[in-house]
Formats: sequence, C-alpha cells, structure tokens
Amino acid sequence: MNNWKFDPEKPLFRQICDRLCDEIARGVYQPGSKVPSVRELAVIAGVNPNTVQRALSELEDEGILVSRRGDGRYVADNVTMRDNMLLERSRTATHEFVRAMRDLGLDDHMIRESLEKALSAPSDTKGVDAASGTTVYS
Amino acid sequence: MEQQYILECNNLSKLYGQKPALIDVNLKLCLGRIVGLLGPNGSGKTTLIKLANGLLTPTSGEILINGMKPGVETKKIVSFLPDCDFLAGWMTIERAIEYSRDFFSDFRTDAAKEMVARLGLDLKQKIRTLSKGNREKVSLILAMCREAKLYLLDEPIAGVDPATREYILETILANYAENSTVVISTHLIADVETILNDVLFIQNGRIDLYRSAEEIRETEHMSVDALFREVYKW
Repeated sequence: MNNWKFDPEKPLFRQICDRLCDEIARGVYQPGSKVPSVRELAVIAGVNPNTVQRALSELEDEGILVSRRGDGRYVADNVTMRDNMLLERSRTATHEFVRAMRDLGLDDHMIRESLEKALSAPSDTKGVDAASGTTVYS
Repeated sequence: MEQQYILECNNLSKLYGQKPALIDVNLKLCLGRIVGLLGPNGSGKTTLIKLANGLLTPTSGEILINGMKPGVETKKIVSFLPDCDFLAGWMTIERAIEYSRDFFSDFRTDAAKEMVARLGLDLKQKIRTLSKGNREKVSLILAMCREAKLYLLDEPIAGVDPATREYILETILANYAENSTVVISTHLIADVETILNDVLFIQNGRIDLYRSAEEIRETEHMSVDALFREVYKW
C-alpha cells in the first residue's frame, strides 16, 4: 500500500473503476495484458476485496476487461478502445476542472487565463508525478 | 435449511455486576465479509469479542460461532487477536511461532517465518526485546497465519504509528483465508473504512447500526467516519 487516494464520501468501486481506466488509458496496463488479481489489487489499493471484485466485474461488463477462465482478467485486446477511453477520461477531467474553477467563483475569462498560465509554466518539479497526480517521495 | 451464520447473537446481554456492558444484542454475520466493529472506548467492543471467544459467558441470551456455543470446537475455526500484549516475554519469536503451530492445526508456520524475516526480525530474538510496534506486528502475524473461518481482531491498529498501521491493514488483507470473515474492532474509523464491507456501530452496549460501507457512501454521500460522528453527535 498505497498511493491510491480515495474520496471516502463516494462509492469506492466507482473510484477503483476510474483509476483502472486511467491506468489502462495511460498504458500502465497494455491491451491484452493481465491485470492483478482481486486480492493483489485489494492489497495495493488498501480496499476490501469484494469492492475490488465489484469494480472488476463492472469493467468486464463494459468490455474493458475480459476474464479467462482460471487465469484471471486481461485488458481487452482492443486498441481503438484505448483511444476512446483516453478521450472520454480527458473530457471528464476537463469538466471537473471547469466545475471546480466555477465553484471558486472564476468566470470563463479567468479560467482561460489561469489555464494558459499553467500550460506555459515549467512542469512541476516538486516531486509530483504528473502522470498519476500523486506525490512521489524519492 | 436455516442459513448458518459464522457469528450469531440472539438477545445477548452481559452485565458486570449491576453494570450492563452489552444489552440485548441481535446480530448475524455471514462468511466472506470484513466487518468493522466501531465504537468509542467502553462501548462494549471487547466484551462482545471476549464472549465470542468464550472468555466471558453471557448473562442472558446466546452467542453462536458457526452454530456452536464458544468452546474447544469453535476455537479451531476462530483466530483471536486480543487488545493486550499476550506473548510471553521470555519466548523467542521462533518459539512463539512453534507454540501457535502446536495449538492450531491450521497454522501456516512457513508463512509466519517468512513474514517475520521480511520485517527484518531475527527468529531467535526474544519477544521482550521487541519494540511495541514490532510486538504488535508479530502478534498480528500469528493471528493472520491461521486458515480460520473467523478472525476476531481487537483493536489491531490502536497506538501504533501510521506506517505500522498500514503494514497491519495490508497484512490483514493479504492473509485472511478465502471466504472467511474478519471482525476488526476500532475507534479509528477513518483509518480502516476503505477495507470494510460492513460496519457495526456500537455504543453503551447496544448495536445501533449494521450496514454496508459502500451503501453508506452511495446513499448518504458520506464517509463511514462522518456518519459515525453524525449518529453519535452530542
């Protein structure tokens, strides 16, 4: 354990689904490769195995994972799906960003400005792993 | 056929003299769950766990483990981690492991030794020379290296630092037997809530709530910790 951070006010299985989708979209788990077992993921994420099970079943229903009898679960062998997922995830992330900024009371002009500023700033070197958004202590 | 519960309480009460510690508790736990027994100090958590182990007897009502009254037969399927230091100081870690092996036929000796080695501890080291954190870890290893049906862990994360806490939760998750039930008593709710299936809120000897943790998040849009504070606000 564990660089998985959860919002304890929201169902964990959804957050596990989202995180795994992110990792698949980013190529941490390649199409056709095996994902860790329920128990392994439970230990990695620090969550209940039944909750992990529910998340993995959900991803199976969505066609993102496929299970092979007696041999665990694999990322679906479907490359176009990966691009779609990346698009989908980035759309969600953008919506969340905009909503958060509006909640802070910023208007569209201010949001654009702050986004420009963030894009032109040198990438953060304070030990934040930009890909996963989690702080790395090395 | 009636369903067999791994832990069942029917109108269970326990008085210490005149003082009630548990009042009319009705409870049915199924296999395959990790259950948080959550309540403040003095709420009855340890009393319930001691009753389940046969260390106390009910004043009225009954408690059943897999349909049986606590006794020799139930001890074969229950792994108990007490909230107090129970290992003899003069024993080496290796001796303590052998002791568990001799008592319990389901004990995984090799796994226990391997886990001790992974902690960087020497099997020949005496229990009394271990730090508090390491003593807690060794106790937990002994409890989790059994292939039990029911694990009763009384305050496994109280009074240890965050890294040790993480080690303990990870060890529980990685080692409990397939399709067994784990009961973890604690007042440190935020630290354990992600690993729980179900939560039991207990206060003043009464069980006030028994719900699925995911359902609480889904329907109340609240963490278990926040709900606990709301139920018991004063």
